[in-house]
Amino acid sequence: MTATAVGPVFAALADDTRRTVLETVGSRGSATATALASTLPVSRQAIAKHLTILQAAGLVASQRAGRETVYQVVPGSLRPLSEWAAATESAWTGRLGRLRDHLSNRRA
Amino acid sequence: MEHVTDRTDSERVEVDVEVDARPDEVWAALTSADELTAWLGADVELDIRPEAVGHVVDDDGSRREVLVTDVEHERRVAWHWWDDDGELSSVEITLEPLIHSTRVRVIETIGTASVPRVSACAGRWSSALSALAPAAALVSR
Repeated sequence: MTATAVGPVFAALADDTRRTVLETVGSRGSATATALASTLPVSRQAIAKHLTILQAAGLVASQRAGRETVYQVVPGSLRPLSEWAAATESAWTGRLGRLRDHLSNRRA
Repeated sequence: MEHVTDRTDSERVEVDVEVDARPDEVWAALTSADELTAWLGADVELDIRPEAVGHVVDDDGSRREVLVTDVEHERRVAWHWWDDDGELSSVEITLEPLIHSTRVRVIETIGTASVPRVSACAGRWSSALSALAPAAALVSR
């Protein structure tokens, strides 16, 4: 795991509104900032900023459609975080196993 | 031993285990420098008291700097730790006394909530915590 793998993704997801924007884009398949502003209690300008950050983190991709920009979730972009979770869970399972063994050895 | 993962998602990992030991015995294993080396990592230099700094080196050589944030005797210890890449996460270990055993629960979270507090501490131990700067920059972006 490296900072470049998880850091920007985590930073992008640290904001509740941004997570909602990402989830909404994902549930719709694709969305413009204008469409998101009509359903979320956030201004179009604010949504555009959130989308820029999500795009910089590699979580969404955009393409022009006339005068609008359409955003889509990048498949697999959350994988670095899920890899962090899997590695961390595995590490703690190992540590707690050693703690259990250590305690039983000390009692023996 | 029974491992139960209650809730693990992309930013939060929770693992617990029931051990055949009293809370005071488990607490000794959590707080004694010698005993920490037996389970937490290959090389552990960590004094479990609030605001103490130390390090943990895993078997694979990966090293984390540690800042202890909270200690409740025989109940709970919490710390932040971060690696060379600046990845910061928060660890909370709680002990729950059971009838003949103790449940040890670990929650590790990669999150921003604790960063201001760490940053404040970094001012006091700027040399020891120099590795924190990239982590703080990373999560405050």
